[in-house]
Amino acid sequence: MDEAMHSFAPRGSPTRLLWLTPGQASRSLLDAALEMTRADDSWEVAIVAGSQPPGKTAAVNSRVTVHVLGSQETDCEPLSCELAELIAPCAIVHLLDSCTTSAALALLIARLRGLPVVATDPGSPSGLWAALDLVRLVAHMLPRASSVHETASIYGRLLGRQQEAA
Amino acid sequence: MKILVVSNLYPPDLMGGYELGCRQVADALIEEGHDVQVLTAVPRLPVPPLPHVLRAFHLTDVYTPQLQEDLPPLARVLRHADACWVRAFNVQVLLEHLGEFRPDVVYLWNLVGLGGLGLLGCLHHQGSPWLWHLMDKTPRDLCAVPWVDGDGLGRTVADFLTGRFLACSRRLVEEIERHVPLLPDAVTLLPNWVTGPAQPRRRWYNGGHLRIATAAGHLCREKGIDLLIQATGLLRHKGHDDFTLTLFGRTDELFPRLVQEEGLQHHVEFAGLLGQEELARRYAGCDVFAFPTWPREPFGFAPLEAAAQGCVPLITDDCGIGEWLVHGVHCLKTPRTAEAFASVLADILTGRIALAPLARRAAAVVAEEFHLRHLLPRIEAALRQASTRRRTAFGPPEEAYHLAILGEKLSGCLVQKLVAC
Repeated sequence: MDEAMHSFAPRGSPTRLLWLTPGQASRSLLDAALEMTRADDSWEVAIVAGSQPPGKTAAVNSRVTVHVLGSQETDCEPLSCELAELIAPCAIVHLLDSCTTSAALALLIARLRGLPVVATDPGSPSGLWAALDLVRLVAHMLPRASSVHETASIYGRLLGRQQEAA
Repeated sequence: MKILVVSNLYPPDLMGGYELGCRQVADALIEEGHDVQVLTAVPRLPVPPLPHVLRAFHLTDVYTPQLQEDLPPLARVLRHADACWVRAFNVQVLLEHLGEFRPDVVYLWNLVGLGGLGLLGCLHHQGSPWLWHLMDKTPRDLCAVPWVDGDGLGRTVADFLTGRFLACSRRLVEEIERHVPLLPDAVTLLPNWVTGPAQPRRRWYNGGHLRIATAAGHLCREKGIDLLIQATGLLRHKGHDDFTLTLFGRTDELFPRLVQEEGLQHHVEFAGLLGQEELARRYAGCDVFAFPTWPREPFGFAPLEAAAQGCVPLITDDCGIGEWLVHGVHCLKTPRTAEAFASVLADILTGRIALAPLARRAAAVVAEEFHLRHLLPRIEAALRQASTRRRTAFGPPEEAYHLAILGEKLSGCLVQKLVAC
């Protein structure tokens, strides 16, 4: 599996992914990020969470970091700024279970930068997600139970497609 | 070049110099053989149709104070969001026009009232090159968040301000950059201009009755109209009686009342809002154009138009046009107080300042350096340079519209939460 994953990420400098989760960064999410970066040293994962993961504060290791949005969702100005700064060095934005305004804002910012957005299937979409049919703005919808391998494969395909377009 | 001009208003529907300047440049570009289309808002009052002008945008009027005054906070902030942030309807209008006209470059003017950030985001998404002519702090206005004195939205938006800019003064650029970082080397300074020929001048001032003029679309405190009336009151107190002050533009009750209070009824005349040609003719009969405007005046067309007719600008010493004219050579500069303006006017009346040589030099320099026919090649060069920055769209036009809808709804949700807090 490791060798296969190597072929997905672009060569050269590490490719940074942004994973956005509305709540706490769970243990399983951190494990998935660690597995992905262990399998292929060209991935980096920045997890943007609604609150701190248990027992963790900032960097999990040099290539998996956790960031907690300092602003409340009501503070649209600092929220947009924080998200924009976190998205800036990333190649892909992945929305995990996110139907929040910060997810919608991240989607908007990412697409205005030309970045592909991936989402984990929200199951029964609600709120903005459903009202605005945001699924259509997403490059790929991953099933909830997708493996790290499958996820990396999707990322690789999207980045390859983007390079072709460029 | 195929040039799509985008402006919130377009004459005869206008607020002031920004829109007039837009029309003058559009007309001049058409005369030079460019294929120019203007996309602007549905007019606030009926206007005659023009073949190259499509009035299709929806304008959120934030310029009429009477429409704002009694609004509750939520309605006022939502109005701001509509005017400055995202208006999906207008994004769709722009997309349709981009598709039909296929311009080489989009030439942006004042975008307040149209959901300007949405239009900029759309152009960025579509990879359309643009040049933005700045005669006001429009980027900063678009990024303002009510009740928040931060630069967060400005820094977010800066990422898609990847076009080029023409700005009428360095002071204006600095004012914008305090809140919205612009790309280095993206800004070219270009002064405002005059159009048309100089009117025949009846006389050059050499003592005697001094004719003072001032003008603004809307005579207001920011333009220093109250200071100017007070200055003429001080002149009289100093014993100078041989002058008249003519104010051109719309006025409210405040200034005629001030004239009464100062006892200046025989010295001050309100001449109303005149057309450009008539105004030029009237300037040719005046000696000094007093412009005690506020320091954040980006430029101001009026003093330049007066100078073109040999009417010497007497201006605040730190306003935008002051960057372009030399004190004691083409104009007079003084601090923005009634006393300082009165003192300079008294020096003219007593002959301590010789006005005629200044007037001749001012008229000559404006004709040589500030006429639109001399500046147009620089505008064309900037448009050409901007047009080379086209890149592949990030997605189809439908996606740009979809993102605009998302942006509009999102700003609405966030504003409601902001107000609720």
